[in-house]
Amino acid sequence: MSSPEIELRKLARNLLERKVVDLVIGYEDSEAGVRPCFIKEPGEVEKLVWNPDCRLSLVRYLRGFKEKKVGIVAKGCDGRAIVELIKENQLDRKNIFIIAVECNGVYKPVKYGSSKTRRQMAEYCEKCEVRVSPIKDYLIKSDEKALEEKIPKGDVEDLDWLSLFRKCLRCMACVRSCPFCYCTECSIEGFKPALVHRLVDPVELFTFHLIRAIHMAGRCVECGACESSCPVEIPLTRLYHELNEWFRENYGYVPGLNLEQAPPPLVFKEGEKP
Amino acid sequence: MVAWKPKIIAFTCWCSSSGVDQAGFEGFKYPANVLTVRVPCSAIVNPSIVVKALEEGADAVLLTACKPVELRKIAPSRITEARVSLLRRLLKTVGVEEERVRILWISSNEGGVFANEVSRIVEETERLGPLNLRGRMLEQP
Repeated sequence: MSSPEIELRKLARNLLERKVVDLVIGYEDSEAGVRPCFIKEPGEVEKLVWNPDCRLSLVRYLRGFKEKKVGIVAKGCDGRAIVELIKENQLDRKNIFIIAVECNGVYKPVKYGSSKTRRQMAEYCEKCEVRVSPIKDYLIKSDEKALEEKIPKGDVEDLDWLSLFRKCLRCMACVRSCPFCYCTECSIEGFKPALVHRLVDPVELFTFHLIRAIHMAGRCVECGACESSCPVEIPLTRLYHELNEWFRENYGYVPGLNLEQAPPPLVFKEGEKP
Repeated sequence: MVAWKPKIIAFTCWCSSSGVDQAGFEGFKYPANVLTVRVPCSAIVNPSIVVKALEEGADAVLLTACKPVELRKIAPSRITEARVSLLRRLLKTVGVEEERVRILWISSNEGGVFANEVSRIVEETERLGPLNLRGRMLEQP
């Protein structure tokens, strides 16, 4: 058992016993791998784990506990997602206790049936420069080194995106797992007249992915939730990264780093470079 | 066989659509394969709609907007410009020619400018060839 894990359990027990938080959202082990867990009693804290398999973004669950005080185990990207959601008035900073855990990158998910011997670091983790959440109430440091096994780098131009979109099953796993897809009326699914239908017309996959990319531009924190939940392994984070680069070049804005910095569309000024 | 002609959708804002009318009044000729859709303001055009237009078979999408210098308040044209710039970056990333989405600055008295620019854009789109998104999505690698 690693030392961040011991510290995490001790902290969670302490928080729950002193009633600082009503529940702690963390990761637990299961037969199928690491999964999220919701701990309400101090006796249950032994379930909590921390390892490089904790790739799921727990921020998604925070909006379900709006009235409660919630402790959340947050990696760097999760912290950035919380910052962005606070800016978008979706979360209340007072109700969240952020347990920041220093992250050294997470593993790529293993495909069902393949051997677990060689584990690679996820691609989006290589680009990541934020190892610790920008806002935190408690920091758990990790003395482990960054993951060694890396994927050879490829450029976005090398990918044939149209044939990748063609593979899409329209399962909406990317929408369901994304911390930012919180609209009750989704422009992709529930909008009328529908832009994208549930019928399998392959051309609409182009529209689906481009609309989603437009909606994620300047907000995506590159947590990789969409990519790791995708059953056909479309590297969506690369696409969203490209649009974030556009925001960085034109506005100098990187999502989720600063609670005071407003998103560029809100501070649009006349005479500014588009 | 009928020669292929590009299909171009132009979203014209309130002011520039009177510019398009002006082109008619003054007798300027411009290619008939430009379909104009009149919208209240160029900033109301959601990028999703532009993408949908490309998907549905448009070979290029054109947005005409008021010149930012001519507007009184914080320029919506700037917002449109930013959106088009973002959209072009996205199209370039996924491997569609970015010239298929354009923005034009047209005032309500510039019928001639509209006719000239549109003729130029139709020519350039003809050089690009058909978008044929359906074919490209359906072909098996």
